[in-house]
Amino acid sequence: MLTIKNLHAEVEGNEILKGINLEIKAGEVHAIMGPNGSGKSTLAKIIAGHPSYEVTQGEIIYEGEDLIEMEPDERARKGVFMAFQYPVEIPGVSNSMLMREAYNEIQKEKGLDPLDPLEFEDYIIDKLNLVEMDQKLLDRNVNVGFSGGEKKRNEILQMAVLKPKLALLDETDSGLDIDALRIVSEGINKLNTKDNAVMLVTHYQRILNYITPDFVHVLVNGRIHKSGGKELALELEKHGYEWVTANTEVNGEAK
Amino acid sequence: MSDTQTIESLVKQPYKYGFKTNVEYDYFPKGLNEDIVNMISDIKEDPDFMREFRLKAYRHWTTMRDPLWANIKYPRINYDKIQFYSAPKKKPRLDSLDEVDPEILETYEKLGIPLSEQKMLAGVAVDAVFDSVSVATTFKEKLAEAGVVFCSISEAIKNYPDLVKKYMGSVVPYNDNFFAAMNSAVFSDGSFVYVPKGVVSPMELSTYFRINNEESGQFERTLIIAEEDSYVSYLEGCTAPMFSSNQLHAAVVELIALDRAQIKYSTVQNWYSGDEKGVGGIYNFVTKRGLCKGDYSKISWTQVETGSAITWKYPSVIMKGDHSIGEFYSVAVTNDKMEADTGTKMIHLGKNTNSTIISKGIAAGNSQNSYRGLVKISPKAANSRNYSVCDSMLIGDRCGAHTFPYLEAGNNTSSVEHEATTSKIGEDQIFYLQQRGLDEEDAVSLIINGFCKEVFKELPMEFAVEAIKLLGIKLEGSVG
Amino acid sequence: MTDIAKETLFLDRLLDRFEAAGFVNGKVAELQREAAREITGKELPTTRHEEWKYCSLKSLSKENFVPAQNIASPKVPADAAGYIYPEAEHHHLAFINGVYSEKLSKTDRLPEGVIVANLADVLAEGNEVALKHLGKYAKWEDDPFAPFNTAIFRDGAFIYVPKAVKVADPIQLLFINTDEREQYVMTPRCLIVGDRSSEMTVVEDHIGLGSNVYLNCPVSEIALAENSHMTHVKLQRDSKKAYHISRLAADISRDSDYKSYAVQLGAHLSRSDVKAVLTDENTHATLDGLVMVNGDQLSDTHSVMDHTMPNCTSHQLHKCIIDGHGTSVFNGKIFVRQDAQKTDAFQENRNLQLSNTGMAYAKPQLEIFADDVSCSHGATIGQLDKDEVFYLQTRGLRENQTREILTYGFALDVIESIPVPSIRERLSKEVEAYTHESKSIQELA
Repeated sequence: MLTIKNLHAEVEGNEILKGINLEIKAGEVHAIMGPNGSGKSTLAKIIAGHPSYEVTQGEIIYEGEDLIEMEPDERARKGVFMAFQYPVEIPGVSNSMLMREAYNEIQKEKGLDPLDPLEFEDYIIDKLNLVEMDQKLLDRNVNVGFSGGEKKRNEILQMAVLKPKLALLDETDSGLDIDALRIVSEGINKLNTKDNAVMLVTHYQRILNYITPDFVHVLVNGRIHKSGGKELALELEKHGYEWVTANTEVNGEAK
Repeated sequence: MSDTQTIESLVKQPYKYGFKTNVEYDYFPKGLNEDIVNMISDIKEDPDFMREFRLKAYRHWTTMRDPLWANIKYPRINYDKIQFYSAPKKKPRLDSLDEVDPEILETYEKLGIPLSEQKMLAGVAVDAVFDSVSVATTFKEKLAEAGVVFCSISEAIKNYPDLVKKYMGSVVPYNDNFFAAMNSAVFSDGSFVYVPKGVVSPMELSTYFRINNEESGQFERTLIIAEEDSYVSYLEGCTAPMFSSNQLHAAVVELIALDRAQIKYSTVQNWYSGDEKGVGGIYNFVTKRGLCKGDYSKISWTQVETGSAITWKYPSVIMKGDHSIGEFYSVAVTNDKMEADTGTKMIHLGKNTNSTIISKGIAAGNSQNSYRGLVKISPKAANSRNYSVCDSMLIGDRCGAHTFPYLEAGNNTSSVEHEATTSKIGEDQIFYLQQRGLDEEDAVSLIINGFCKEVFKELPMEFAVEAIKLLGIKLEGSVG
Repeated sequence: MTDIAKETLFLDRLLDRFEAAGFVNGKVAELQREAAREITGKELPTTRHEEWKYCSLKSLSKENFVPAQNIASPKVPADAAGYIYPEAEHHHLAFINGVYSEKLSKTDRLPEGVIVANLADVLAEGNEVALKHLGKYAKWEDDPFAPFNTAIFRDGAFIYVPKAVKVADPIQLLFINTDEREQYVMTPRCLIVGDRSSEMTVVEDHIGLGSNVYLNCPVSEIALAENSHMTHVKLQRDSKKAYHISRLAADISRDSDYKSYAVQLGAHLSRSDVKAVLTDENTHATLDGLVMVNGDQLSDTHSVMDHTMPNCTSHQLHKCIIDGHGTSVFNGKIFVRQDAQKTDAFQENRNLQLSNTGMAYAKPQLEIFADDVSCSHGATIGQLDKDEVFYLQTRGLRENQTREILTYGFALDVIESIPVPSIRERLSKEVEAYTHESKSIQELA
C-alpha cells in the first residue's frame, strides 16, 4: 500500500529525515517510536503533505502513485488520513458540517452520490458510539472548546467517518488519561480491517498495550535504527531509546 | 508556494464594478459656500423650511473642523475642489423608466440590478441613485397599495413635507458632526420610506447607489419612518468606477421606529477602494443613526463593508423607548491600503433596553482595520443589557487590527459584556482542512465564512448570497 | 491677562513654590531642568483630551498646595512602625510626606551587593547604575505629571539587586502621609533595577493617616535585565480627600518576568498610568489590579502593555468594585508590534456595580500589527449574580451578608495572587471594611 524509499526531508534548511525506508501493506499496523525530535511526527506530516516540509530526496509511493507531488487534499481524498497531534481549532465551522463536506468529497471522488444532512446524521450516529462521544459535540465548532481528550476522540471519529485506507496517527495517545486512551485505542482497533493499514506514531509504549502492532520501528535522528515485532516495544520500554542507538543493526543501513 | 503567499494571491482580485458610464451632466461650480447651498435649494425647488435647514447647517459647518480622532490617515480634503452637486442631464422629472437615460439603465444592468420591472428580482423594490440623484424607483404602485411610501427624498420633500419637517434632523441634527453638517447643507437626493401604522412592508426595499462623476461628491440622505406596529426591511448597495482621484461620499441616514415598530437596515458597501498602492478610491464618511422612539421598538443594522479607501462609519441606535432593542452586525474587510474605522454606538436611555453588537474585521494586505464602539447605559436605563463580540482576523503580516470599545454604565441593574479576539487564518488550519479532503480555496472560504456567519445570517436571503460572493471576490477567487 | 494664564497653569504655579532639589550631578540637574521646561506653560489636560475623557482635574486645579518638605514637624504617630509588614521587617524604607525618614527605615540582612537606599543619597554619591537608568523609562509623552515629578523630586527609593542574587523577603517602601492643616504636594521617586537572573519582591505602600487634602504624585521606574524576576505590589490607601496621580514604567528584558499587582483603595481622585514594555523575546508581564471606590471617589487606571518582540506573554486581570457615587475608569491598551509574532496576550476587566449611582467606564483596546498572535480581551460591567445571592439567602444569610461575601469573592481573584501573606490579610480586612463592617467574612466564605 505504501512504499517509502530513501526519504530525505528538511524544514527551513534543517534536515529532519535522513533516508527513511518503509513498506506498509494492507492489514498491517506499524508503530513508529522514537525520542522527542527524532523526526517521527515529521514522517507522518510529510506523508500527509504538510507544506512546511520539503522533500529533498526519495519517494513515497501510495497505491502505485507518487504522493510527493500531490496536494494534501488530493491525498486525503485518495484515502490518506492523519489524526493530528494537536488538532486545530476552527471557529465558526461546525464539526458535523466539516465531516459531511469531507465525506462527500470522498464520495465524489469515488463517483458516488453525496449524502444530504439527514442521511449523514443517520450515518454518523453509529460512529459516535465507537468513540463514546456525545452527540452535542457534532454541533460545536471544530475542536473549539474541546478538552484534550475530546479533541483526540474527535480525530478518531473523523477517521471512522472517512474510512481511510491509510491512517497516520500522530501521537494520538500522548496527553490522554488511561480511560480516554482505552476508548481511543478500542476505536482504532474496531476500524482496523484487512483492507486498510495504520501507521501509529508514538513516544510511549503504553498505547501498544491496547493496539498490537505487526511491526515496530525505532526512529532516531531521522533514521530508522531498528525494526522488529511487538516485542521490540517492550524492550524499548525496559531499556530506553539509548539502548537502540547502542545496538545498531539497522534496516539494512549502517549507522 | 507557501500558504501565506497563496492567501495573499487570493485576496488580490480586481474590482469588477470599475467601469464609467458616459452620460451628460448638469455641471455645477466647485467648492462650498452659501450661494452653492442656495443654488442646490433652487434646483431642488426646496420649500422654505428645507432651505433654512440647509443654510443653518452650512453656517454651522463653517465653524467645524474635520474630525481627526479616527484611526485613519488621509491627506486633508480640499473642499474647494469638490463639486457638491452633480446630476445626469436629462429631464428633471422621471415618470417612468422609459425616460431614464438608457446608458444609466445599462449601468444598473451591468451591476446586476435590472431596473425594468419585468426583470426585477421578485419581492425587492429598488430605488436607484446615480451620483446625487434618484433615477428610478420600482414597484411603487404595489407598495402604495399597502400604504408604504418609497420614493426619493426630493419627492418626499414635495409630497410629504410635514413628515420630512418633523423627522429630518431629529435623529442626526444638522450640527451633529462635520460630515453630517455638510450633508445637511448640500444633500441632493436619497431615499425616503414611510410605513404606516400596523403595516408590514410587502417586500424588501432596496437602494443602489452609484457614483459616476469623477469630481463630484455624493451626499445622499435617507429617512425611514416606521409607525407603530409596522415592519420594514431596507437594503442598500453601492459601487463606483475606478478613478485615480478620490471621491467623497458623505451620507446621512436617519431611522425612526415608533412603538413596537421594527426596522432592519442592511448595507453591502462596495465602493471602489483604490488600487494596491492606495491610489484612488472613495472616502466614505457616513453618519447612520436610528432612534427607537417607541416602547418595544427595534432597529437592526447589518453591514458588509468591503470597499472604500477610507471608511468612517458608526451606525448607531438610541434606545429611548422602554424595552427597545438595538442591533449591529458587521463584517468589514480591508485589503491593499484601505483603512476602515467603523463600529457602532448603542445608547441605552429607556428601561429594559437590550443591544447586541457582533463585529468581524478582516484585514489583509497593507490595510488597517479598526473597530470603534460605544455602549452607554444611562443611569435611568434600568435593567438594560448589552452583549458585544468583536473579532479580528489578520491575513499577512503587514496589516493591522485595532479595537477601541468604550463601555459606560451608570446603574446597578444593567450589564455590559464585551469580548474581543484577534487571530489569523493559519497555515495549520488550512492544512487541517486539506487533510480532510477540501481544496485550498474551499478551505479558505470555509474559514472566512465560518468567521463571518453570525453576521451573514442576519442579511436578507438575496443579500446574503451577494455578500458571500462579494467576500469571495475580495478574499478568495481562483488560486493564483 | 498674565494673571488669567497663570491661573490655568496649575503645575507652573506649583513648580514656582519648590526650591531646586540641588543635585550636584550635572546629568540629574539637567534632567530636572529639562522636565521643568517641559511643563512650563502646559495646561492640565481636560476631559476633551482622549486620555482624560472620564477623569476631570477641575477640582485639583482649584486646590492650593505647598511643598511637603515645608511642613516643619509632621504629625508622625508613635506607632508608625506598625505599618511595616512582618515579612519586610529587615528591609524597608519609610517616607513621611515624601521625605525620607532614616529613623523609620531599616536595611539589614540584605544579601551582598544589594542596595536599598534613599534615591537622593544614591544620586548624590554618583551611583552609576542609578544615573544610567534614571529618567530613561518614564517618558514625558503627552503627560504633564511625569515631568512634574521629574522636575522637583528629591527623595525616593533606589533598589538594586545584582546578578544572580535573590532577595527572598519582600522589600517594603512605606509612604506615610500625615494629617496636616496645610495642603501639601509630594513627588516621591522610585528606581528599581534588577540585574541578570536577579529576583525580588517589592511592596509599595501609600498610607494616608487623616482625611486631609494633599497631592501625591509618585513616579516609579523599573528596569529588569535578562532572566530576572520581580513581583511588585502596590497598595494605595491615601486619604479619602487626597489626589494620587502616579506613573509606573517597567522595562522588561529577555526571559524576564515582571508581575505587578496594584490595589487602589484611597484618594478622592486616583489616577495610575502603568506601562510595561516587553523589549525582548520570551518575556512575561502581569499587570493585575483591584480598585474599590465608594462615596465620591474616582479611580482611573490607564495601562499600556507593549509587545515589541516575538514569543512573549502578558496577562491582565483588572477588577473594579463601585459603590456610592464612585466612578471607576479602566483604559487598557495592548500593542502588538509588527515583530511581535507568537504573542499571547490576555486582558480581562470586570466591573461590579453595587450602587445605582456609581459609574463604570471601560475601554479595553487592542492594537495588533502582527498576524500570528493570539490576543483577547473581555470587559464586563454588571452586578452580583442573582442566583448566587438567592442561594446564599436560602441558606439563611441576610442580604447584606450575602453582598459582603460575594463582593469579597469577586475581589479575591486578584488578592489571592499576591505572594505576601500579610498583605493578603491586610487586603481582606480592607475589603471587609469596604463592604461595611461585617462579621468574619473569611469564616463564612
